[in-house]
Amino acid sequence: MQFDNPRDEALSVEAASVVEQPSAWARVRRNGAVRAGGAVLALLVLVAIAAPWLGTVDPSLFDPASRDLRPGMSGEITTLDGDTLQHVFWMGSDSFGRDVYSRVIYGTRVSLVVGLSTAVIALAFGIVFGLLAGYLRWVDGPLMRVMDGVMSIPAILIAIALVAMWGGTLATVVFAIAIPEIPRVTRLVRSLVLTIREEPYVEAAVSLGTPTPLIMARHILPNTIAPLIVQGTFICASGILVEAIPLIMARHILPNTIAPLIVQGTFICASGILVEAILSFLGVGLPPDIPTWGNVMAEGRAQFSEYPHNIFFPGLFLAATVLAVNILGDGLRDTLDPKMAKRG
Amino acid sequence: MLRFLARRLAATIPVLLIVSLLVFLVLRLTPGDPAAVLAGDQASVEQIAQIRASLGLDRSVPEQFVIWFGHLLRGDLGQSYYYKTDVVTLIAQRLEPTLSLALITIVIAVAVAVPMGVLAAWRFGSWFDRALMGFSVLGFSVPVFVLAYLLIWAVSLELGWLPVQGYRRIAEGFGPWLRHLVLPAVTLSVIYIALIARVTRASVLDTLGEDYIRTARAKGLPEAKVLKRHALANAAVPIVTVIGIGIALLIGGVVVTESVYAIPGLGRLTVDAVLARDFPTIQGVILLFSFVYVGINLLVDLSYVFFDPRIRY
Amino acid sequence: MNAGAPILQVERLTIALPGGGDRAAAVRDVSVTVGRGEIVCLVGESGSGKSVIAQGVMGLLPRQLPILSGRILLQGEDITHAPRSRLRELRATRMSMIFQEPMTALNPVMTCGDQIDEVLAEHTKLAPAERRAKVRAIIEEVLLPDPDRMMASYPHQLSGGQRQRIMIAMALVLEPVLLIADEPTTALDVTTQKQVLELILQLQHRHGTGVLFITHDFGVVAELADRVAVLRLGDLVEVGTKHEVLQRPQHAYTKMLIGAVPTLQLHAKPADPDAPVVLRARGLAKTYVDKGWFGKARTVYAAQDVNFEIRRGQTLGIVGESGSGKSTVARCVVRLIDPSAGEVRLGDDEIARLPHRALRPLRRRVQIVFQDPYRSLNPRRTIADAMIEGPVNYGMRRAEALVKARALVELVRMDASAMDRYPHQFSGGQRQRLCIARALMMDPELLVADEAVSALDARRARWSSWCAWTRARWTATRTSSAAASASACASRAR
Repeated sequence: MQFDNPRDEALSVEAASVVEQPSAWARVRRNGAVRAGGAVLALLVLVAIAAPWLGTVDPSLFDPASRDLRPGMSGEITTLDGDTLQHVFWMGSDSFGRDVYSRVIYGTRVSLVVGLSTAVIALAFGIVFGLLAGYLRWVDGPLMRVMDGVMSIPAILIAIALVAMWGGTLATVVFAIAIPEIPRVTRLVRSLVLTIREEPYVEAAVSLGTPTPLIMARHILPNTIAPLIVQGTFICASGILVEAIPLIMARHILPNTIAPLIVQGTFICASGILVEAILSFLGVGLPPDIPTWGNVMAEGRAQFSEYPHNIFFPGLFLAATVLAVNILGDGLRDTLDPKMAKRG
Repeated sequence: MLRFLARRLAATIPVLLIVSLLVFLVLRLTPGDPAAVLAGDQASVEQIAQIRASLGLDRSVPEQFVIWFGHLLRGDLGQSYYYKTDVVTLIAQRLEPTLSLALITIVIAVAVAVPMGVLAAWRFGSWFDRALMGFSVLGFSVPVFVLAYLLIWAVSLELGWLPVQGYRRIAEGFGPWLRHLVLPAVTLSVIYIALIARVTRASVLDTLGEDYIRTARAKGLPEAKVLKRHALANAAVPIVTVIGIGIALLIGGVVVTESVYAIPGLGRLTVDAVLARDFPTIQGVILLFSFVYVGINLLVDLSYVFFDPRIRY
Repeated sequence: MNAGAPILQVERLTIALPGGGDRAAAVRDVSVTVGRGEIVCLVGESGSGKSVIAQGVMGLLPRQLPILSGRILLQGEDITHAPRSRLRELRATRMSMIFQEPMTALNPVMTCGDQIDEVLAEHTKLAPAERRAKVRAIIEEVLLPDPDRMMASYPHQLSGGQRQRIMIAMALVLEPVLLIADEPTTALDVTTQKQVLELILQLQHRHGTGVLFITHDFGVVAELADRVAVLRLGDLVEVGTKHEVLQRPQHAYTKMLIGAVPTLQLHAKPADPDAPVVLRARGLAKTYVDKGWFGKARTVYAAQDVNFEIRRGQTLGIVGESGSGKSTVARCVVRLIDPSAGEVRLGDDEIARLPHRALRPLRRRVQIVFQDPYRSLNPRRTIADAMIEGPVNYGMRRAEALVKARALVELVRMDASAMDRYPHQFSGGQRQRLCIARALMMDPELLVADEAVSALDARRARWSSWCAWTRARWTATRTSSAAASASACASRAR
């Protein structure tokens, strides 16, 4: 385009320096809740990874001589080779003589893994189901009825029943916890698909001649956040739908749903950690030799009045973790939706 | 109006059917022989065969479902292998404690949460609002049983104000009944309060942004009236909805709470049944809880008519 | 008219605007008076601060908009910083306000009768039976039929015009001396507008109420006003009697606003009868068939046998009441929906039956501006992004597109800084202007505006300034239900 006059030329130089809005990712990074929750979570991940080097012993080690020690006391512990060491039981010991501190630290691993896997699985299935239900009329009816059915059964009961049926391994527990979460994700994705289809700005984009993949690209930008992991899940889902019509909507809608799904995923993670702890506490979760916070607390139930440390230490970690994830989720929700941000 | 009622009732039937189907299928999804699973580890071959015959496992799965469902409709939930009584009887015995706990919890939760939510919305951004939101996140995060132990330790063990565990039937006196239920109800209500307060706040906040609030103020009405007759009245539907949905959380919480506080209710029954792999009981309890949940949400749906005159038929 | 002391005196009022807006003060140093029984019109475009003044008088300003300086006197009483309790006493008894959107201004869960009764219950000590009688009386006075039924009905059962009458009833039931009307007729359709305006005039005359009438429409001013005050971006630019302002406007802005009023006369710019035909529609039809669950199909004839043509440089107004099919026709022409029958020729190309794949080149030649400004812009994208989306799709470089976007934003008389903001930071009228600018980015041969300007101010000015900007003359089709805004030729669509 030729400039007829110096004014237009000057404008073009100015245009080049038009200030761009901070990207969504930058906004997320700046939010206080995200930072706080994220920091605690990062710390916990570090703890989980560094477990062997944090002054712990193998969590399954026990020594009858060191039963029911109060926090801070020291006692003996028998290693796998048969040697006895002196060991300070920072968080006391349980009725078998196991080091509560070690079990709590190693328990972090289990909880984080369970939380994350639950979220990923629930999201993955939920997205697929939701997209299908949103596009294919013939799938929508029956699928949503089934989802309604699942949602009508309180989640814990489903989880308990499934673990009772399938036995208590990590895989079964994760699926048992994830399954009740799937319907909510499905509903969310489905409703987003249905809504965004109808928006005038989509019509406007169509009438502006934006080709289908570009419509998606334009609307990915404000909504896409870094986690490529989450992106990867969506890529899988969209691969299934490449054949579906209308393409515009399929490509265009996914990005607009990413933000709410990330937020949803965070909350599912928190829920997963909680439910796993409850299951373990009730004795219907992972087998007692695997150190999870719930298991440690279950073991210490009987003697709570005498030795509360069995309950309080794992309980503290549990509460802190779930709190951190929830706060993170709140922060993400506030930043990823510009209109919601005004209300907090 | 009656048509509306009938239509909503009719809509729940497929859901109930699906729930029944799901509950039925869960057992069939077990790896291995369901009869063996049901019979338990100690059963002999004859016993297993007996069970298989009685369950009709030699017939096709759809046939089995029909038979089972038929029993269900007649109110026959089968026999508990563990307790050796009818499941229905078992449930009837354990109903009172759970019902008492649930009722008191709901009353506490609504009475506390709704006013707090309204206040937080009205004073949006104030310290109260932020405190409430903080409390709400905490309420969601601290697990029920951890909170329970905390309260037990603080109130019962250290201060000795309330009994640690157990349950007293109403028949044995209102006072003891209440005293034993205070701590469990408070524990259980925390998460419910967190949920309801949040939704109340959000809903009232939305409503306060509407034009008719401005009109109400322009008429010179005092804030209390504006909040009650104009804001809350219009915010009611989501609040009532979440009260219904929160029942699911309540049911989950009941299971844990009864476990910690040693209350002999349906929650305890569920856990015991699961530990004993007593499938008829598990099925029965899950069915009951689900049907109750669906029923309550149906009532909530129907109540919309009172809250919003635009929802007629 | 002006017997005795003025009812309302606004003296040098300045109200601050929170950060992030386009100026420091919502209104600056504004003085207005309303005398007993007088109608004063406060005129300005959207964003000029007129509503802020109204809310300021009633004491309904949010905390973010504090009164910085000046005074407000109601019947001589200084209410600028009056305590809330005093303001509450005055509302409805001495001063009342009616608002723009009757659809959302009434409480959906209370009956209309109860809502009017509330005013009486709060401010008087009348017994329930007496209150009921008064409510009945005022409902009759606002010319609503069947008062008992009205009292028992809920707002959603009433039309927009009826709801507005209920609002007026609520406002006037206690016979306040001052009525503030904030664009009460803007959201109503033409016939209802007239009725409501007449009603207000009648009531005002009968009760001797002073009225501060806020509007952007000089047509309304011509009908109602005794005196006029013109507001521009928070500053009072002109004030005077109706005759003075309308016939001898002093300020350039006032002149522009008055000139922008479309009249039913033919516009000054003559259409060239031999100009090439840009769009021709023949036998255009759109039918919707709704197959019910049990086989009973319902057929809706949204448009039938529509014929029209538009030549280059012309503006065609398609007029009809709501439900007459105007939007359907508009969408068919732009191929957002597919016509069921008929032919649409854009220039030499037949487009009604083009397969979807082939539509792409068409898109840049025809653009549409929608009716709803609130949902026509993606809330997650800045204005700049929205503006350049179109041209960049067709290969324009980003930098160039940004320059053009800036120019167009300024053309619709908004500040270039708008480019960096998000849609929710603008008012409805401003958003609509941005949508128009966005459509113009494509240099279309044909612009379709679907009731796009029904809520806009100073419409005319925009059309003529666009024509000046694009060197090629282009054409526009507008659908509208306001007969006054159709210009060169108007044809009826069924």
